[in-house]
Amino acid sequence: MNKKKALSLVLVTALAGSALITGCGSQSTASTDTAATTAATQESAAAESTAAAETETANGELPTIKFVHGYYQTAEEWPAAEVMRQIYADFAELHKDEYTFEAVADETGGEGIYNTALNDLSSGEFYDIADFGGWDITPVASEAGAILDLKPYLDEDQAFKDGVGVCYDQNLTDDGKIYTVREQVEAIGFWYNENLFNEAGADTPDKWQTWDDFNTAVDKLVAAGINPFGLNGGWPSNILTGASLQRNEASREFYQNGLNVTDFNTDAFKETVAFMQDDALGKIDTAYFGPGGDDDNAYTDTFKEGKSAMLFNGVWAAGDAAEVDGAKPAVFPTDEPGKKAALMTGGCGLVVSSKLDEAQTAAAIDFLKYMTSPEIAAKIVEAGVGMAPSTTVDYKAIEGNVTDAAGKPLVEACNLCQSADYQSVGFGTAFGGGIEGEMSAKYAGLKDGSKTPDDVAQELNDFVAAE
Amino acid sequence: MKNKQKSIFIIVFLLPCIIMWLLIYAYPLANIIVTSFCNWNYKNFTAPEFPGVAHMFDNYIKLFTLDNNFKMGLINSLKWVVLTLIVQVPFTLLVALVLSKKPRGWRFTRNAFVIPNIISSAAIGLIFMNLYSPSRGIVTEICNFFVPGSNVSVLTDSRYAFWGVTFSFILYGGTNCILLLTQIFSIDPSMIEAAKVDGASNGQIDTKIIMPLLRPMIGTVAVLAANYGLLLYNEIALITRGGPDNSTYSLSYYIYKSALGSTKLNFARGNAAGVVQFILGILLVGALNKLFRTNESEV
Repeated sequence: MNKKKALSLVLVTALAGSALITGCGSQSTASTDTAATTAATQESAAAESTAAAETETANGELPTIKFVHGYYQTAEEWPAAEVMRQIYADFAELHKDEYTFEAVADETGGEGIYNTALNDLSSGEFYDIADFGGWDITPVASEAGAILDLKPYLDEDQAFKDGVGVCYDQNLTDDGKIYTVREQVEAIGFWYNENLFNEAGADTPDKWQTWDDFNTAVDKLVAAGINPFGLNGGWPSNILTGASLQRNEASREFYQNGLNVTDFNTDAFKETVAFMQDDALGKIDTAYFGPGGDDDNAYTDTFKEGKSAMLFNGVWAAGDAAEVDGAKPAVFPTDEPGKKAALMTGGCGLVVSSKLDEAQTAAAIDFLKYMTSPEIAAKIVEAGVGMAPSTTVDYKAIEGNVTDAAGKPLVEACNLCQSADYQSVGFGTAFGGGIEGEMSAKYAGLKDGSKTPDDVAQELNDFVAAE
Repeated sequence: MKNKQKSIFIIVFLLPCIIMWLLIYAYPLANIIVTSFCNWNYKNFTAPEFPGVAHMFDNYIKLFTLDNNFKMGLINSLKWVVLTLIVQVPFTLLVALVLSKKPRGWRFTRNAFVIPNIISSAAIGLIFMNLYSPSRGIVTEICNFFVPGSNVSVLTDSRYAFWGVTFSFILYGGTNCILLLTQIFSIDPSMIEAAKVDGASNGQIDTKIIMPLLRPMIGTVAVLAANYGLLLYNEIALITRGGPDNSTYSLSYYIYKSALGSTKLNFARGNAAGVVQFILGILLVGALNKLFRTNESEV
């Protein structure tokens, strides 16, 4: 019995000891001032950089920089991936005498790159440079002092600044830093099937003046037995919610303040939710609220099969649209007659480590400038990859060079987004991933009537309060 | 002197186990408990911060007062614990009792009952996702047969989704059935023969002799089943991802979503929920062991 007690005592002491060790470890780190830690990290990185640069000079070897991206797919799987890999290969070839640029495709894609970065950050490591494809690593990586502030480099080079376009303002943090730029943006209007609109006798989106015209057209489509659009519990529904929030000044102001919103119980938000319930979800028989699998893409399939009149998706869906007879791009109306709105998100793309040496950092900045140059912008648009962030791209001029079937509608869609009167970030960027996920969970309840706009506002308030 | 040597000998042999236990169990557990009182999210990813005694319970307070997803996860997890105890365990016991009579085809039935337990829960999840799919599955078709036009979509309707997840695991007690069967087969046949000679019916033999003798094993099976219900994650991640409207959240899924499911990376909140889950697990195991007196053998 005594031995048993002694063994139990040993184990309990060991557990308590572990707790103490854990606590002490945390406290000692916690007691360190964050700013001081960051400064120390940067100082140490700078010292390492200098040492490394000297070593390389002494050895006479070319600096090496490794770039990780998620464009691993074959040309058959996704032609854009091959276009992007070729762009990277061209850069490596262009600078082969100055440094070794090694582009590596990670088959886990943006999500896998993000997860690897999280693991690396735990041990103070980070990619030399990586494309996160929208997975936002910047909040955690910047707090850890692991990534480079690109703002000084952007501010000293007007061409570079022009090239990153909307990313400059959108990715500017509260403390005046820019940690990521992209060579393409998530530009979102929508696609419509002109033939189905004509069949229903409804005005096509290019003729709409306000959201009332949208509602009238939807009613005519429904009356003609045509499914106006497909939605699911996520992406297309959030696009429509985000677009509806661009309708007037008050709602746009609410939207722009999204990350700081603590009260959703406002007219601007509840009117949008009511629109989603009555004028969007209420006008379709089936919303694809499945948790995964092909139900998630059914909203796209119905459009591609010519069974629905509108597809709420980004400009990159030009490939899908090209398969549909009569498909055209459009941007969203507002409540101000004739004024249009588009959603354009820079988001998290190319991120550079703050621990590179001088030569590597210069190479990384070279690469960013190259990726956001007018030549690459033209290349990715012409190849049908996506829309460039630069607001100076002349899509009319590019249109003449496009031969690809999907390229022409893409250029047209990009042009519409670029010339829209109001351009805001997407819903997820505006309000953050948490609210985006919560909002996605509400559409099913709005569809079956078990939730009201008041309920949704209250539930989102609760979510924000709990964060 | 001999006893002392014996003790040293035992300690030397125990030492590797104790060290391993400390490294892979005690330290992470202590880490979870300690950091649940800290601030630890994307802002201080590599260094949890202790907020001071006045705020050390903030994570727990928010969990129980403000966080609806946690409350939903907690309620659902407790419901699954109860359901495993009142559905899975009795059903498994019933199957074991029937199979123990070795009716025709009992081996095939036993093996068929075990098969779902040797298939990964990921594959089971995919199977059920397809069964429930309105476009590919048979559940919607069956519902339409009985109620034409009902078009039930199990996983997208918060009234049915909980039950959709529940039926993806609740009847799979194959492994537990094997445990019970093994215990039944180890009962001295002479006891059953004697009961038969005394005129006991099969039902009386089952309820008056076999089940009392099985009590400790039933307790063990109840602990295993209830624990599965409390820790449920795979089925939810694969079938519903917590939806619709977060109605199928479990504690485990909440922990994942808090810590890694958003860019906020709220590890501290996730760990606080983990501590709640851990305490519930301890209480559950203790209560079931007490209820079934699993430490006292009847055989």
